[in-house]
Amino acid sequence: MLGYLIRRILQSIVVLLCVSVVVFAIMYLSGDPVEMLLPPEATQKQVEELRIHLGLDKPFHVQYLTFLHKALQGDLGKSFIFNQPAISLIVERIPATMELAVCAIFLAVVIGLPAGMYAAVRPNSWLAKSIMSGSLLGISLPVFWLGIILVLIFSVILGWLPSSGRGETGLFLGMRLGFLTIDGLKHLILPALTIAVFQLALIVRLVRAGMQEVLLQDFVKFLKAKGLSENRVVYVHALKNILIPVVTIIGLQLGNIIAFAVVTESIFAWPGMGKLVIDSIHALDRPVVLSYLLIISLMFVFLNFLVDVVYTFLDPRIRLK
Amino acid sequence: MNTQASPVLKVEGLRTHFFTRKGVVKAVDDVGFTLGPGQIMGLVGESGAGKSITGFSILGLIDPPGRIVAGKIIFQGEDLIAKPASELEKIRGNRISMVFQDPQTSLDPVFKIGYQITEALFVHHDLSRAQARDRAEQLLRLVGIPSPAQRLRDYPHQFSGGMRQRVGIAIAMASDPALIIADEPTTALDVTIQAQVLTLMRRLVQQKGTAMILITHDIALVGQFCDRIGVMYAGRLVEKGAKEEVITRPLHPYTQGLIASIPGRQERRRRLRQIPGMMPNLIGLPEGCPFLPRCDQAGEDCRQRPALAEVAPGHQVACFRRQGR
Ligand SMILES: Nc1ncnc2c1ncn2[C@@H]1O[C@H](COP(=O)(O)OP(=O)(O)OP(=O)(O)O)[C@@H](O)[C@H]1O
Ligand SMILES: [Mg+2]
Repeated sequence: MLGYLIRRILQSIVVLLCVSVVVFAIMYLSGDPVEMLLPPEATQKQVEELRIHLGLDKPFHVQYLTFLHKALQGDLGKSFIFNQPAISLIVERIPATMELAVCAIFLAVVIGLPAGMYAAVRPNSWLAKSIMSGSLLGISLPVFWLGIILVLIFSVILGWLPSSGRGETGLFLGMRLGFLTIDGLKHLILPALTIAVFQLALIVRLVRAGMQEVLLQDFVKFLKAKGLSENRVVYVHALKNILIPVVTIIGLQLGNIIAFAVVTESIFAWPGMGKLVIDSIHALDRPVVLSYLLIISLMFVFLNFLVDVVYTFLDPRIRLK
Repeated sequence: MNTQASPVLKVEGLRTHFFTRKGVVKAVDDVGFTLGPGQIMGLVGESGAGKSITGFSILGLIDPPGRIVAGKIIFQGEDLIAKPASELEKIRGNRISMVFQDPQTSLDPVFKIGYQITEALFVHHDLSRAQARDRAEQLLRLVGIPSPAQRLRDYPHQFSGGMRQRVGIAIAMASDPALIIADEPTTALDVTIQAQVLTLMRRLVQQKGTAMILITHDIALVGQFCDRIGVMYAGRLVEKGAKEEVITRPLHPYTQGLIASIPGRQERRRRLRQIPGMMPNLIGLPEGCPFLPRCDQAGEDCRQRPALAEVAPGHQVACFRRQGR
């Protein structure tokens, strides 16, 4: 266990280092932020001063090493634009994105797991057939289109739900969360649904396939031979057997949702990380983009670790090593 | 033992067919036998003969596209085929239980052994947790698993193949069933363990007066452990009778072939041989005797299907050559 932890931590450090080099290089090559920061009529002297002030006059490797040196002390630099620590800009927006991602995954699992199991157990029923066609649709709909259609139906035509922003938020453990207020919940529904549809479809298909495979195994017949009811065989035994792929997908998809929340956040003007990062990329705001990607990488590493740990609870044959 | 008075199980004209896209697979086609309390019947035949399907039919565990299309399965006086699914659930694992061929795959890998045993107890009996645990421990001891209290907390992968099969037997014995169907319970085990497990099963069965169907493709095992023998070929019983009768005086050419192919029987060493040919495809089986293409004693009349007929007291065979025609 300890060996596992140490190896995991070393791996994460390597991953973070690689990410930082690559992103730093890309940002370095993609243009001069100073030109974006100063008005066009700025003098050459002003440009030079700002460049020196931001440390942009040094060669690439010096800039990178300076960044690394400061990063190791926990300082990821100040945003060129907001003149605030980049990290706090991002951390402020994490709850909004997290809330969206977790709600979407929650919806997807709560609906997808039973639906997928049902489709596996009663493959010939009309309900199972509609579930499967629905899931095919859900997988193929583009997110932005779905978001726009949902807004059109529920906000514009029916006027039931708001289409932009987070609405009122409540304070919980120092985080501003929307689902604590009715207004916040209403704002959450459409963006969460937009993200959830694809995830839901994915989980339905995964669960159905896994379930069909498990149900063919010998032990299922033995369980029935013990006199267990079909429900018990399916919803206790088979379920626990398919949880491993489901947990893997939840872990991976949670990471993906957070990283790709950009589209949904743009449609719904959701003040999350994704929107901040898009704006920062446009402005070549290097510290913010770098901090964001490092945080996202860290999160992926952590989610993978969490998935590994959950495995050991689900399958006794798996040990952390 | 008088089996005629109160048989535990009486199977009559059982037909289980699979309706596949390629055609109807007559996996079990007119099988019948009777089994008294405490009796062990060996069901022998080569792979695909329909032995397992016969066993699963008795338990009502035939999955689509399979279906029991005809016959009676009278268990302790009740016809199981007529029973609704909920009634069958109460019988399975309680009054009839089954031991499976492969102990590696017949236990759920992600639940503890203790859970898998007590779960079987809870479905059929009103027990407290403590009572169920005690009973589970007692069952493991019964099948010869050392330090049973600790082993209850282990997962299947922590047991060896032989030990796992003992767990399977413990689960099958949990409710003191009247009938155990053991489907090749030792095929996946090595030879020494095989004998141990079978001896154990025979002892348990004899102690409780449980009837048992021992499914195997190894006729030598049947000779050692059974009272009666049924020989299956292509979904049909071709010969059945008391063990001594069938082993010493096999009548059907197929049975004769099986017995001649047992290795290590000194007096037959020189005649040790394989039966030539293969069992026919069960789809679109021709009308006549299914063994016809492989039989060296066949005649014109074998193009009709021979029925089982008694040729000696308690010894039946489905072969015209032996029925004096
Ligand atoms: N689900 C199914 N669909 C179609 N045919 C099937 C199905 N299950 C079994 N059969 C057929 O039924 C026949 C009998 O199968 P069964 O499992 O009873 O054989 P067996 O005598 O137990 O053989 P083995 O020694 O290999 O276990 C086989 O020919 C098989 O092809
Ligand atoms: Mg079989």
